[in-house]
Amino acid sequence: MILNALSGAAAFVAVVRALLGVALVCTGVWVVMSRRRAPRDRDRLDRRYHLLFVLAVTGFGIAIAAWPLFYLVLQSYVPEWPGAMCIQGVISIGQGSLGPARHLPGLVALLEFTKPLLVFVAGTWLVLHLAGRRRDATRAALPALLLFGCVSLVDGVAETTYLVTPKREYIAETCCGATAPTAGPTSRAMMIGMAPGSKHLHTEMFFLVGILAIAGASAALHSLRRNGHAGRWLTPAVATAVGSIPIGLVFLKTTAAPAFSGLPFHECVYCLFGSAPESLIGIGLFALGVFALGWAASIFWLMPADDGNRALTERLLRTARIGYAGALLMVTVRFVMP
Amino acid sequence: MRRFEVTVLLLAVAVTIAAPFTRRDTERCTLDGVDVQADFRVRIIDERGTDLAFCGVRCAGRWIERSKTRPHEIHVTDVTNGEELLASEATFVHDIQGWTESVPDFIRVFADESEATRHASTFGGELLRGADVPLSFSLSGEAPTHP
Repeated sequence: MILNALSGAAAFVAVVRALLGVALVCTGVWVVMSRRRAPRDRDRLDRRYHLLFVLAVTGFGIAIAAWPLFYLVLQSYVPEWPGAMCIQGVISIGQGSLGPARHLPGLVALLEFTKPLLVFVAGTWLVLHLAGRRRDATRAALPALLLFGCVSLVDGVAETTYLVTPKREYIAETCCGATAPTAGPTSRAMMIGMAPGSKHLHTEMFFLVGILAIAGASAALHSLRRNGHAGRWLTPAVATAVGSIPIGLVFLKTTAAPAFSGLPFHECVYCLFGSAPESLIGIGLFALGVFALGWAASIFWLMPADDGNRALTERLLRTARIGYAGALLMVTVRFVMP
Repeated sequence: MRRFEVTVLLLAVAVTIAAPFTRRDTERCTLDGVDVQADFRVRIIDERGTDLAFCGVRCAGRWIERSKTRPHEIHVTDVTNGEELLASEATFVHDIQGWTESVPDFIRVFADESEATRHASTFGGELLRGADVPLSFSLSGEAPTHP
């Protein structure tokens, strides 16, 4: 275990997150049981709903803070490892090891998946809670809350395990170990991701799914305003948003990272954050677009259609549109800049 | 479109345009973007006369391998005095000392072979000879080898 201020803070937050996950699941189950046993005891149920709400709001705040904190911890490990020049080098700690360190790369991969999932699930609970606040708010959002608790528990346990696992038997690769496997020309065309071959395709696919997601969100918004429901357009828009996740990740790694950091043979997303920090805003906008479409769909599919919910869905669809449009605009501007 | 949406999009464009002007102007490795340390600097002049800097011999070798270009000239830096010399005139030592942020390579470069031998025996490591000598293919015309 490497002990520094950031890893100490992250370990504390991870333990709190795991405990909150347990508390959310237990309290949620307790509420469900109480509702079945004494459905008319409104006071007691309300008190438990309030407890659940306070736990969930605390968990939501911690989930958002834990995402960047995890990467700050990984960054703080970089000077500790010979041969590691960025987070990519830290992530490869344990590869080829026979001891407990062999689990470290898998744990990092799991955490890179659970961090955004946790924020999305927590956000889903929040929008369902807001959508149902005129009724029995926490009850309507209870399934999302239980899922939030489970993901929080898994994420907290995985991060604690990662932080306390001894990091030995590291085999240095090269620099940050993320140089592109294929060769190609060092031309301006390649630097901006317009080179022939797979990079060209990744760029086209990224713009295509982005434009389709904006079009889907706009059509759903239009339908919602005119007909009061967005179902016909919302489903394809959400499907596009789900498809845009792997396409966006591939584009980020193979095209955006080498192009925007000015290093045509270096496919390292973490180095991109260091050399072009504004890319974090673009990634944040893209994630906001994906999440907002998912949240809008969860209201539409899980909550009854009324004026309040329609207004919230409209707001989320507009947010999704801004997210995708902002990300596409930032990429376009960066491509055309000298 | 509402004013808020337009403001967000304009801010995104403004940040993208302004950000490159705020970056510090340090010399970075052409392969992986690491800051170039003066004692380990490798300079390649490519076929078009472009001057490219690298943080070490390994990165320079990898860049030549991946770009599939034949450099016009390769200059390395003598680790003892920081003076530049042609790669073909240098002696390379594969050092067993650590690789840290300030020492970005396992390979040390010496202008003087006796100095290189002394370094290898004192600090551990071995002199690279024959096919193991890095960055030699550009002059010999042989297929690229990697350190």
